[in-house]
Amino acid sequence: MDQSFQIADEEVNGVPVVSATGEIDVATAPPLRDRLQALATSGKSTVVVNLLGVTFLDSTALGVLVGALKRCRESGGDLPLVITEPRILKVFEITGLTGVFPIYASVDDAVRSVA
Amino acid sequence: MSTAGGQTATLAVDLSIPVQADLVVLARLTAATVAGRAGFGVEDIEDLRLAVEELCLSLVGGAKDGRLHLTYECEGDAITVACRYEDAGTPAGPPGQGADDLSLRILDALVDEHGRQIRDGHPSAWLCKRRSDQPA
Amino acid sequence: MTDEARVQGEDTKALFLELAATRDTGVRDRLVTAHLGLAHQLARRYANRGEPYEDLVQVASLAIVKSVDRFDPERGVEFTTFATRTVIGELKRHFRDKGWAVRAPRRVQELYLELGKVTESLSQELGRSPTVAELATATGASEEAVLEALEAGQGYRTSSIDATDRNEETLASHIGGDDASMDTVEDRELLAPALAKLAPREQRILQLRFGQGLTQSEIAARVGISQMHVSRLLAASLERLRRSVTEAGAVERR
Repeated sequence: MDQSFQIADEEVNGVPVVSATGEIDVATAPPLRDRLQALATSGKSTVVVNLLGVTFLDSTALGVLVGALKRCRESGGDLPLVITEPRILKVFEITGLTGVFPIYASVDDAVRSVA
Repeated sequence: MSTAGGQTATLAVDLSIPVQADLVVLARLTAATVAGRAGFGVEDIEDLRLAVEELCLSLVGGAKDGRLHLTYECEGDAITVACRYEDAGTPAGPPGQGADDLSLRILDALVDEHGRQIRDGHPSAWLCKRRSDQPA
Repeated sequence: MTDEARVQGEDTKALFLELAATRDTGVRDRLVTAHLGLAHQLARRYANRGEPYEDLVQVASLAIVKSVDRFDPERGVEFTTFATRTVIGELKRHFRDKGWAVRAPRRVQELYLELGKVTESLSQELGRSPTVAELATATGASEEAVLEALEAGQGYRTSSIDATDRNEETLASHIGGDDASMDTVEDRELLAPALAKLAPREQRILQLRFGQGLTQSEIAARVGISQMHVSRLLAASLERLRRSVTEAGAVERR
């Protein structure tokens, strides 16, 4: 488990942005899932997930993101991701998820796409 | 239907079905019914059902006719399903060679043991699945 | 085992040891990529149950990532066996979530949905998967009805033995307005040419809506148009299908 894992939220132009840093794996994914679930419960159907500071992403993390994406789309929203690190992007490419998630290079771009 | 789980007596069922559209459902349902009787959990039952389907299809290969003869035996916490394919006399080589690597791999993943052989000149295969969690 | 397979097996083991030591995503991705073929094979094996192949590939690919993450090379199980089990498990779950609804009569669907919930709560309560008898007691249904609903839940495999197209049936039931009216071979045969006359995008939208059960907004996101637009296209396509099927049917039955 990575000690440096952190999660933060803010609102940019009225759009909730959840930023994760460090390693997201089976140990650290639950807080991320809870955070995303809480936002969904409070009626936020669209959430930007900023993964710019993420250094490792395992299958649990992918599962959390896919689950959150489904929930968002069911309520008419979306879950844009912010990723630039090729090592992180790679697993999305391999698994075909780049065709499912809208992926942006900056938080501003992601927010603009849904604001 | 009896609700008693964990029967120890042997239960044996024979089934013979023609190879044609969607009759494999009978092979699956029979497996599910026998396993349900024996108190298998639904997860095990789903695995068994997929495995029986795989067993049948691996024997039939691409053939469109002939018959599948299945026997189901439940003893204690194990179910054994044996399946024999008899073609309709078309001398086109044994279709049992449709058992590709993927079939074997799927069976490896779903059941405890499985095997295949030619029996009386007919391609045959069997599998055995044990109840993975004992109901209280 | 061929030499090549054995070398690959040793490679795989070495890569897993390296992954455990370094947690290098590059190593993880190489292992995942090396086994995506298995994901595709399994997705294809279960592709004829009414779920689009591409979705199954995605579920299976994610399951490969999961297998790589969870695999313990010291446990003496072949990775491919472990991965096959994981992929089938995830595919089963996927089918349980959505791949079943179309053919089953409403009563079976409802029981099936209830079984899903009851299975989850009983599994937690018991610490194991519930038996058919326990599910029957919990839902008040007969064991036979439980088995029937579970069978419906798995969809069915077409493969070489049965080659009907479930997506068309799904659609047929919607065009016909009620579940049974279009459910004959004759009507399905009428639908295929009508469907082929639609533009590829319209076909895709129908497929996403009825083949896959996506919502209009999900489709909008996939196809890259607004939800309103999806709604209009769906209505127009269904109307066109209904008309050409009715006309073709009239000709056919003369």
